[in-house]
Amino acid sequence: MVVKSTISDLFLEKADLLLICDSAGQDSLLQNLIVQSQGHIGIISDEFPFLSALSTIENIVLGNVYHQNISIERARKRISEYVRVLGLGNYLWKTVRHLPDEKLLLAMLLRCIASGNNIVFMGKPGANRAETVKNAIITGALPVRMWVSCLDQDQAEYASLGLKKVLFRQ
Amino acid sequence: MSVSFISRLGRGVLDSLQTYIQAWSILISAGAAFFRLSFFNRAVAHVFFREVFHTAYRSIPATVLAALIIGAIVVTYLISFLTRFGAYEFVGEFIVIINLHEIGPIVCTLIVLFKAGSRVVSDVALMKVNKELNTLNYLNIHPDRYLLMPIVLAFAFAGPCLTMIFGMVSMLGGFLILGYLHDLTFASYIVLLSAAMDLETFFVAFFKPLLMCMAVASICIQKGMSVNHSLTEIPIRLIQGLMHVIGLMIVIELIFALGYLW
Repeated sequence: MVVKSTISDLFLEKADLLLICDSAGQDSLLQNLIVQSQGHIGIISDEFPFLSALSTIENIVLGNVYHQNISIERARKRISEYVRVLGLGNYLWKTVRHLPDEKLLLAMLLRCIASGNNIVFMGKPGANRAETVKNAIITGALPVRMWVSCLDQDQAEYASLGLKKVLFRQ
Repeated sequence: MSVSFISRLGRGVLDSLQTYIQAWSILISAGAAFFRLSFFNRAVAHVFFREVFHTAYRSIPATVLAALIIGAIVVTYLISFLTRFGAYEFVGEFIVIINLHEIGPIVCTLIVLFKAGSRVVSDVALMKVNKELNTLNYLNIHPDRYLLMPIVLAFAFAGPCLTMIFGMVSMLGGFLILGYLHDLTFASYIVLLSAAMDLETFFVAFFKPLLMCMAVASICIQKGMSVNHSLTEIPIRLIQGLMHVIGLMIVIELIFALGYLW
């Protein structure tokens, strides 16, 4: 198994990765490093939920509308193809609490794509959630790679995803 | 026992001071964001208009109703007193001063506090407890510019606007009483009021509610931000916020009273 110790090393890998950490501390460190990458890596996590006051589309394109000062409609048009592929068309103007869990995950994935991330990271997501995202990426031929972190003892849970295993250790 | 009393007193004073200092720093951050012209950003403008809707627009019915009733009551008492003291010719001046200088700003600030302030405390607390503020940081969005400034600006907009509406409606309420009791025509009533209005009236009717509502906004945001673990803290923070806001309203009232005397 390949051993990596920095985010820059991980960037060199072109495959989807299963980042295995041998302790909860290492996993926490990895997640912090990824958060600090400030937008290069998109994160799908409950730690960064959608804003409850906004609709789904407003949440998805919030970063674009704020940083590029464009209208929601214009930002929506840019990602309209991905909206169709992910089957989110019926949920765009609903608030987050009306979104089923699966669609919420896909909406978070779309937020990463809309923000221009080419990597999405999920920290200890659970096999089902990771599989949902993985399937969406494959089915929709989405332009993102996937990194999933897990603890050493949980790696068997993610075996069905077929991700390249990398041991993250600092 | 006296040591314990002094300790509690000191803690109370420090807690209050901390609230006011943090509220002041919120105002400074919002002011800095305002002067960076952040409100031209579409995402920020969206939040601003939403806040204006919730703060100003939705407070209009309560303001109109309060103004109509209070205006009528004020005029009833004024006529009774002024007639007794033979000073009926000052009725216009008193109506303007009482409605626009004193009752209007306070009633409108209280309406904003109860209708919008409580909502801001719970919204900000909800955002904090649900980690939505983390999302803003993750998206590299400044909470000062995206969240705080639009709220403070909407409150600052709502205060003077509602006071103007209050002033107009309460004067109309006053006319209903005056016209009924004293056979005063509407034209004469308007002449009576316009003679009593000057630049100072508009200055006070603009700046007093502006400052009071900005105080409401900053205290409510501070109280929302101070919720740490659970939404059950919200009612406690809300009550604390009410007391702090009322304290600040008294201070602002005193400043304007001193300015008037000076």
